[in-house]
This record gives sequence, structure tokens and C-alpha cells, in this order.
Amino acid sequence: MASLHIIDRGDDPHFRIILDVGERAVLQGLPERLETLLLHPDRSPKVIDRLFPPAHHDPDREREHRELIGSTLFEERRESLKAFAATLAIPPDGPLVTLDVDLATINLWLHVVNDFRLLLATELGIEDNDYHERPPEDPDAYESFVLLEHLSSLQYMLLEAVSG
Amino acid sequence: MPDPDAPIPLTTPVLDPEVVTRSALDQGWNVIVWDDPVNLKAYVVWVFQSLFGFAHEKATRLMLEVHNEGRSLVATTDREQAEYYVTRLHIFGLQATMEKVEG
Repeated sequence: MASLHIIDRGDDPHFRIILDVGERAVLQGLPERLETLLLHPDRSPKVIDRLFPPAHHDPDREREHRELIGSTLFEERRESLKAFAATLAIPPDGPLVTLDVDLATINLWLHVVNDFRLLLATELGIEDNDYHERPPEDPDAYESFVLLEHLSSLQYMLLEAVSG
Repeated sequence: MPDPDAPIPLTTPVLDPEVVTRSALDQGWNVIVWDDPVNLKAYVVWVFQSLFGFAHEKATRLMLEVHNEGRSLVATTDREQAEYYVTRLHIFGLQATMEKVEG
């Protein structure tokens, strides 16, 4: 499991994230997985609907909203995925990877990790708050469930860091 | 869990923590956040603090309202600002809509 250390709490806070190479490899696979869905929305319309929910109940206003900022939302998510992947692209130091990052990167990780969680949860069909208590029996689904829980722990760690 | 009393650095400039600003030309739009079983409670609190500049107590109260009531009115503002908030909330992964204030 990753660890996160606060290096400097000053006006320009800095953090150190330490991952093992296996965890880094798992995280590196997620941006491509999500970007593939963004580029091929027909493959998983439920995930796309979850990541791009309606802004208006009124169909005409929703259409107008989509025309106005739909492509911006799409491109911003792709850019975030690229930026997230770039933060992981450094050489390992033995079995570990050490990332020295600023607050903006922690904030980036927070919402990109959340996108990954939404992707997994939607694919798992999670629709209630008690999903933790019912791990799926199917092996592939269980693997996604474990990854979802792992990302939840990572997100808690990031939240603790930004909360001081 | 994050320290509930600790301040969170802002990532977005915020003008008014109460976010009740209406222009004279726009009668107002409500920004509603809807419950979601996946987003962590602490994450929702962080989003509210980061985006709106709410104090931790207010952000937590609104998060609990979303969780317990299914939705929460988090801002009333002009249309342009409401579009901005909803768009940012979507980028953060929250389910949010905007509704014109009736009357």
C-alpha cells in the first residue's frame, strides 16, 4: 500500500508518495483503461453516463449545456488522465517508486482516483452504500472490487494529506 | 479519516462562502448535489470546501444532507456561475444539476 508523507506544510506544500512497483503498475494501467472508454463511449455507456451526468432535468436546456461545454468536459478529463500518468512515469528506486509532488498534483490525484473509483463501481453495478459488505463472488468482479477498495484507501490517504 | 477540524487548502478562488449572489438580470439558479453511493463522504466534504470555500462544518452539514436526504441545495447564483459550479462538480465526479429558481 502506498504511503504519503508531508514534506512541507508551508505556503507551497509538498508531499512524497511512495509506491511499490506493483502498485505503480496497477495505477499506470488505469488511465489507459478509462481513456479507452472515453474514446469509445459505446463500449460502456453506463460509465460515460456516470462520468458525464446531466446538468439539467429539462431536455432542451441539457442539450444546450452539452453543446456548450460537453467537449470541454471530455478534453479536461483526458488531459487529467495524461497528467496523472505523467506523475507516475519516473524510474523506480529498487522495489519502490518515490514521487515528490506539490498540492496541485495531490488535488489532481484526488479527482482522477475518484474517476477510477466511479469507473469500477459503475462496472460492478454498485447502487447502494452497503456495497462493502457484499463482495462479488465472480473472480473478475472480485478483482475490481478489491481494486476499488484499494483506491478508496488511497483517496482517504490523499484527503488526510490535504487536510493537514 | 481526515482531521475534521483541519483547514483544507483551497484549489479554486472562492468569492463568497455562502454563495448566494444573484445578479439583477438573473433571478437565480439553484445548484443541487445528489446522493451517490460511491463518492466517499470525506471526498464530498473536500469538494465542497475546495470549490465553494465552505468551512468544514458547513461542508460536512451539506454532505450529510446529500447523504441523508438524497440531495442538497449547495448554491443559488446566476446562470453563468451555476453552469461553472455544476461543470466543476461533474469534473470532481459528483452528480449535480441546476434548476431555475421558481417565482
